[in-house]
Amino acid sequence: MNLYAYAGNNPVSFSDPFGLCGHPGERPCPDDGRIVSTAVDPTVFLGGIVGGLRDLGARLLGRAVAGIAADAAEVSAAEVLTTEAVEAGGSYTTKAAARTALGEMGLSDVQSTAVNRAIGRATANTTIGLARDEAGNVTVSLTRAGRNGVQVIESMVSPDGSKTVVQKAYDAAGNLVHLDPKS
Amino acid sequence: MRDQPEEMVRACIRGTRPWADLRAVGIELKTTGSILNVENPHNVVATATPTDVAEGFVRLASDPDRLREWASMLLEGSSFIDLKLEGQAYGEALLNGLWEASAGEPLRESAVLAARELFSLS
Repeated sequence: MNLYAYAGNNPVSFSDPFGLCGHPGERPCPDDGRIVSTAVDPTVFLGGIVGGLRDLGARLLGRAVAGIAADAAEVSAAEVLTTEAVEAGGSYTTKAAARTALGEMGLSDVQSTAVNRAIGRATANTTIGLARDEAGNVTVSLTRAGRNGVQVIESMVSPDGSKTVVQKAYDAAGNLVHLDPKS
Repeated sequence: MRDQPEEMVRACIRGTRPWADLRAVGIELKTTGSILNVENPHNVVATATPTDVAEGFVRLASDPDRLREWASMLLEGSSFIDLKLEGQAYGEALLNGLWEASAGEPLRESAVLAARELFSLS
């Protein structure tokens, strides 16, 4: 059994701890801060998930956990990396990596600027997800481990940048973090 | 005299006005359950400096509910607030403080000290 096969036989340059990034010998996980499907800390995820991760972040994270639960040797990358996930743009552990991906999405200036501002809310321990739907809306998912559990902020920015829908944010106990700005 | 839209947003960022006042400058904030809809048809965007954020922290520190609401809106209001904290002194500490405050968590000491330091300098 070749334990390095899922890292493209190159464990120095690549990592693929759960065998989810590609068939052996094909396409190992890049080591550039971009997460294909595995880099979210499963302990963080499992510690706080259930209530609030509903969109892209939830789908990507869900796939990761599903993959972890399966026998890694039998997981097909094609099963894990669906077209949906690829179109989503992926998840990133640094703002720089997310912004590089943003630059490649071909957005209008106003939408790109709005998305960039949302990315700027990330801290050093935030995972950033980017996704674009068929209508051209871009969703930025910020997932961060807080002291009381996972925090999530998802901002969907319209193509003209004039509307934003924010879905938020539950702690480990499933308590809603978002508050009504009525005061 | 009518407030300039950007100044109104900055007043909210500094904690001197409530977010609901943004309606006067065309920014609608509507909450339904866990969803916040922000309509900003005039694309009003105000820059928030570390000093602005520090002032908000200091002003609202004694009111946990308002602090939490304020911090949540700073994080969620990316369509009308340009947080200029990256690469700034105390920027990361303030950003961590916003996340913690928005979750109702106790602020770490570094955020409190950063806010006091910056606000005292302003």
